[in-house]
Amino acid sequence: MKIRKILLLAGSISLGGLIGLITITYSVSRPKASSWRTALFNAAEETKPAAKLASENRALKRNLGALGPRGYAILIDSAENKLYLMKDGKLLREAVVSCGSGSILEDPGGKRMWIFDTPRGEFFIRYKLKDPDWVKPDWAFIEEGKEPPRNQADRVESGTLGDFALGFGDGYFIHGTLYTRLLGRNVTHGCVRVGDKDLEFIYQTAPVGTKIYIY
Amino acid sequence: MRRIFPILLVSVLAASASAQDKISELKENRLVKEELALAKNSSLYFVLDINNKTIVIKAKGITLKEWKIGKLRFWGSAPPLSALTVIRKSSLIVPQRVKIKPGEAEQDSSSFELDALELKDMPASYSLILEGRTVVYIRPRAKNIGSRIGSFGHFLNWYIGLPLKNLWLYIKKKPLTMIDVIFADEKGAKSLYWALPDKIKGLIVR
Repeated sequence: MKIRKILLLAGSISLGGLIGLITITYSVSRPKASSWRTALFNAAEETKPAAKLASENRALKRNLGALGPRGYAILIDSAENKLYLMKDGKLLREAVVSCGSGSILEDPGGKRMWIFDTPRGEFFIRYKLKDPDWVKPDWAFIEEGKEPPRNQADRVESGTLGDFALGFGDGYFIHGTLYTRLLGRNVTHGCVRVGDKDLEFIYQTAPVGTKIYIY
Repeated sequence: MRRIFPILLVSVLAASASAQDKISELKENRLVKEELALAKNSSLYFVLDINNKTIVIKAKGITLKEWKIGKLRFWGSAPPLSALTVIRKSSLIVPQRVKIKPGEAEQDSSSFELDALELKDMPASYSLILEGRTVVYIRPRAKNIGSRIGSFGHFLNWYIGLPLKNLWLYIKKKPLTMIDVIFADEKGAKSLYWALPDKIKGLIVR
């Protein structure tokens, strides 16, 4: 009988403690609705009337809108392997492309390493080439298990980049491909491969200076 | 007295509405200023909008990609209304890059196997550890038995483990803000993982 009372008392204390712990835990962790709705405001800002703030907000939004591209812009979704050519926010052309494979190549000499990602961020078309030749970089030879040649002429390869190429810096291009069946897959060394018809449209439409956004 | 009461009521309501207006204008002011600074200084940034249940990747103020969030819940204090950096992405399965073996790149086209890191290789369940002691848990809606078991585990963690953890951190004066984001499908969660490079900055709008 005594043991039963002790057990009951211990059980009650444990249960009470558990309920207390849960209450404290939830009161500490639960979202503070008021703090999620409002912000920590600058005291100086609080003195401004709502109308003045509204007009300041409109000006700030105009400034933000002015940062965006005017005219043509190229958006490249490297996950979906899609390219969107836009003009003033309207879609002109959607193309299936191939972006970087994300693979790694190490120089057997051990001094260099390449990661074949398509770079992310904001770029612009620096120059446009018709019937471009590819000047093969060192990694292209190393990948093939060959020694990179010293003579520049031995690096030039025709036809690989398709009919057009649009350079956007650091050796990266939007260019054509011989491997059209791989469009839509991540297979390149960082460049953006585009099918012939789409590439021709982009080449003829987007002028040098067109902003490119890769994400 | 009968006339004064309605006038008083209208005045109180008007003052309350004006205060609400001011709060929303102040909030917008802070957010647009923060976004303007991000747009000027970062090539890409994200905005997690808790009210509209969206996540967007932006550059220079323009939206590049938008994800709709299926379900959203949170614990703890509100995250700051300032730019937060993704310190790291944490997941059980980390996508592994393929190492190219020199000389083996030229393959027979009939046995062509793509050695690439693609969207399908990205994890669907992961967490984003942000500055300001903020953690965003991302996962897709559970559809099969395996993911339902995982989802139940996450449910227990969300309602028992994490509040207890937060209690401990509260005692240590380091409470966390935890946001749980559930996507309608796996692809959404995977493509967000892909689109958020390390150290990307962003805003949490509430």
